[in-house]
Amino acid sequence: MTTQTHGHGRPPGTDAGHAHGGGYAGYATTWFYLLAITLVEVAIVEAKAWFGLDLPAFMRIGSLIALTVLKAGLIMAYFMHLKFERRSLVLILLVPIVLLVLLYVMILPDAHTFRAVNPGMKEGAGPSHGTPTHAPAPAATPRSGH
Amino acid sequence: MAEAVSSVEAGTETSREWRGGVSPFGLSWGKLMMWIFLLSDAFTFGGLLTAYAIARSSVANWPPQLEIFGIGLVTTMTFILICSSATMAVAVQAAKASDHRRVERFLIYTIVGGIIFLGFQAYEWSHFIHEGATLSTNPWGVPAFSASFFVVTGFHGSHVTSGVIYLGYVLLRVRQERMAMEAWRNPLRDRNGRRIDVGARVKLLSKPQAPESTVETVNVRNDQVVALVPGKATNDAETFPASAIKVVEEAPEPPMPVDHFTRSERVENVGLYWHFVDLVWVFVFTLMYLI
Repeated sequence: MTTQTHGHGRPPGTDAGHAHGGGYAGYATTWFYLLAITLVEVAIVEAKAWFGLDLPAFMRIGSLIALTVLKAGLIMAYFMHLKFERRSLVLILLVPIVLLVLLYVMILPDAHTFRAVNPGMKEGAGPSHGTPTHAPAPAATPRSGH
Repeated sequence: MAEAVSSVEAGTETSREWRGGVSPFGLSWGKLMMWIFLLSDAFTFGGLLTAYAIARSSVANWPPQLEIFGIGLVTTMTFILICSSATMAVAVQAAKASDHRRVERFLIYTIVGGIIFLGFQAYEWSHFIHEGATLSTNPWGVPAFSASFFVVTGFHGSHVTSGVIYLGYVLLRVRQERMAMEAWRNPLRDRNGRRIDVGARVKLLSKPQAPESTVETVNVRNDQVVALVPGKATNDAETFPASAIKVVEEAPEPPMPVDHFTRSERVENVGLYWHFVDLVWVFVFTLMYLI
């Protein structure tokens, strides 16, 4: 039961300086990509104002979500070291993401039903698409009947 | 066979695959507990963001969030948080390399980033509240708009606040331990190069007639030694500079100061927490502001 023969083995995640994409430089690369992706996200949102590009909603929202997932992946893989941890940990962490997407998909039809049976919400209680500088018209109507 | 079992039991096998045994994740207890906490926290935020998505889908005229909050401010906040996540990563790497002064410096940068982020958030909130938003009503006529904004960003902001406190605690501990280690490596010495430790028997050069006394406490940074001077009132201790001390009999060398929770581990755990806070913000930024 001696540990001498294999005692140097440390769990993958705790191995300092081992295949970390070059230590500090690797983090700088991740940092750069995160900032760049954030700028791309802002550019997509401001596409119309900046480039006169009127992106359809599905493209705008789809690309924003894709870029967000990419950023999250970079943070988890490099900053949180998941790329260097054991795969069972990674799998455990992926479960909630799947569950949350399922949760959303399951409840979503209900939201549309709510919208259909509450046409009053479409008019809105205050100034619709209001500008914040307008005199605040306190929304006295809470969700009617709910 | 016996070797294989022992390496599995010790959880030390280096493979990326789990080959059975007691340590499926190959993590120390502290890190594993942090991951379990983050997992539960991920569910909390996932639930909040799902609730927000549902609330939003049930309203046709959701207010134009980006115009209300201003993209410049929110993008700046995002940049600051990403930068503080990067400095945190450097602190973790430095901790693994036992570069303790760099750890302290980059922990301070990270804390400063967190505080600036909170300042921006306070500004944003007070603006929003001045415009008439409350938890249940707002001038834009969609109650769920301000409700979800306050709950989600408030939850995230409280995580940033806790993170700043947690980082401050880790910074203090890292500093303490570095100073203890430095004091152990470079003890005070008298003119003859003998160690002045607590418990050493010493002669006081400034008081030639006084009999031997015992060192009570040592302050390495100020070169100060507090020695018990016998002959006067009981337990009468006086402070002397190290140069006024001659060691007659060294105390046994104190053991190396080791913490049961190694420094690198402590920094790694707060790092995981801080990156998680950044991770949540990545989603909040897109879902609550951009889309």
